[in-house]
Amino acid sequence: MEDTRQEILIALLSKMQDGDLTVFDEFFTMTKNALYYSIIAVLRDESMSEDIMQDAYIRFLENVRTIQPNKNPLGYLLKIGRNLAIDYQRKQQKESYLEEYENPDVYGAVDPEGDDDFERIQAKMQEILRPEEYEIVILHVINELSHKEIAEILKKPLGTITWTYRNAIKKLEKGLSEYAQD
Amino acid sequence: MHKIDDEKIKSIIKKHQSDPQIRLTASEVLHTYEVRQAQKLKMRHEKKKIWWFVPSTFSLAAGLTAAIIFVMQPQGEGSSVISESSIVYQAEIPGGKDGEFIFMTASALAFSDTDNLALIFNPDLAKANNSTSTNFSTIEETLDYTMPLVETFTQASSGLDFTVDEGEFVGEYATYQYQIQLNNELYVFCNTTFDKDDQEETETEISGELHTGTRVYQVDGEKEVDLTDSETDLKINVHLSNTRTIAIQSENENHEQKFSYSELENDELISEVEIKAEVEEGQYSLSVQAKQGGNQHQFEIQVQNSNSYRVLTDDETIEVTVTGHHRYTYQHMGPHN
Repeated sequence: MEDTRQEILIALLSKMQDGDLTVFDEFFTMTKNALYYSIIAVLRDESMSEDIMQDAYIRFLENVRTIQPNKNPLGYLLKIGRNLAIDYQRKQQKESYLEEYENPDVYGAVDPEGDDDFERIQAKMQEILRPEEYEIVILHVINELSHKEIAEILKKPLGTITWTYRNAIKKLEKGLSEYAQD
Repeated sequence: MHKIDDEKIKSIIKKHQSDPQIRLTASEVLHTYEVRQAQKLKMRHEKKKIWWFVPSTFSLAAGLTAAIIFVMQPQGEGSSVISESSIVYQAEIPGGKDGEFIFMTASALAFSDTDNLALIFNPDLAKANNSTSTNFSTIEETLDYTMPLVETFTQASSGLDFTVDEGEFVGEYATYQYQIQLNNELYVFCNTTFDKDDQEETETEISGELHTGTRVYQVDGEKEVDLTDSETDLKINVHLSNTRTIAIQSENENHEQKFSYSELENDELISEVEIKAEVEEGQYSLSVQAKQGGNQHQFEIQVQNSNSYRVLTDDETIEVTVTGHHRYTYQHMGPHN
């Protein structure tokens, strides 16, 4: 991630830790897309993403004073979002089991026929990649997190992240070949 | 060899990427946050303070937190008060045995929280000092490790003030149902699971994480209560690092309590301390057995007052004086009668 972006986020965190929430608007603007994609990477479904985003920001604010100062707060925020998404997914799994059994294509995927170009490419990536590969690609390519930052968020060794990412890219080289000709 | 073209894939994805249509706004988030904070504040005012010896509702969770809070509170010199009721009271708590739970968890950290605490948590410092965390070569070295446990035991009768919240709490390792908090820096997130609950026995598992300032330690354990004879077995693991764990087991039967502390490094036993508490005519004494490698020491400890203890080994009497936080001086008094 860009150093300057990180520095700004740390400065905003510092102000929020001092009780100045007027800077939250700026913090929100700088982080909302990353949080959104982190949640989507887990859920693969955007219908609940904004509710989870809201909860994640509230948890963030509730715990803002306990966050390590001078450390990029985006990692912490994404971790909260990811945990909430996983929790939501677990709860949904029980409820959706029967429905999914009857129609497995409906759940947990971006619409492959969607109008949005990016939706289509996301759907293709989900088709090609395993869930953990997809999540790492989203965090690295879209959210521009370093492999080290991803390792911290996913609580996995750095080597595992690098290895998984390389495998994912290999698969995408083949799977996204049609887009390469654009 | 096939070269991975990372940049090519990145550019394909980036080229097609569009900003998501997020309707949520910062002001909506702030508004919801403020509403929830106001609700919490209201609830907090209505909530009574929970003391560790009023246990039943949050049996495990409250015990755990109380213990942690207890350990982490500044323990000024001479601040502890020995009460005749402390051990007796723990034995008399119906069912919950939270006093015991408190002691176990508290003492897990007390076990580590000697002068060598920094060494356990900070391997670099350990290297610099060229020292290992545990050394039971001599009786004094053994006492250095066991006296914090003894002190924690005698201090366990102090009341503790903390709050327990139920909800969804996002931790480092998972999301938890309970948050138990003393202040901004000291809190526990935990979940409890009833594994088995029948007419004769209950089993409860706890898993959580202890937050102390910027550090987070994973904690797990289980509690079995035999309802037919009120015998309680507790097991708790406090994971100090990826490789180092303090495992504590407790047995409680007939007004006797036995605690064993095992220090494990990569699942290998480094040291073990067993403490047995006995109550006689309102006075209590502790029997201690400490093992490390080929070294083994066994002795009894009599509590004189909050700052002084008498240690009886097979060969001699040692008067122990507390000189600071987990700091002691030892006076060898010669053979005892």
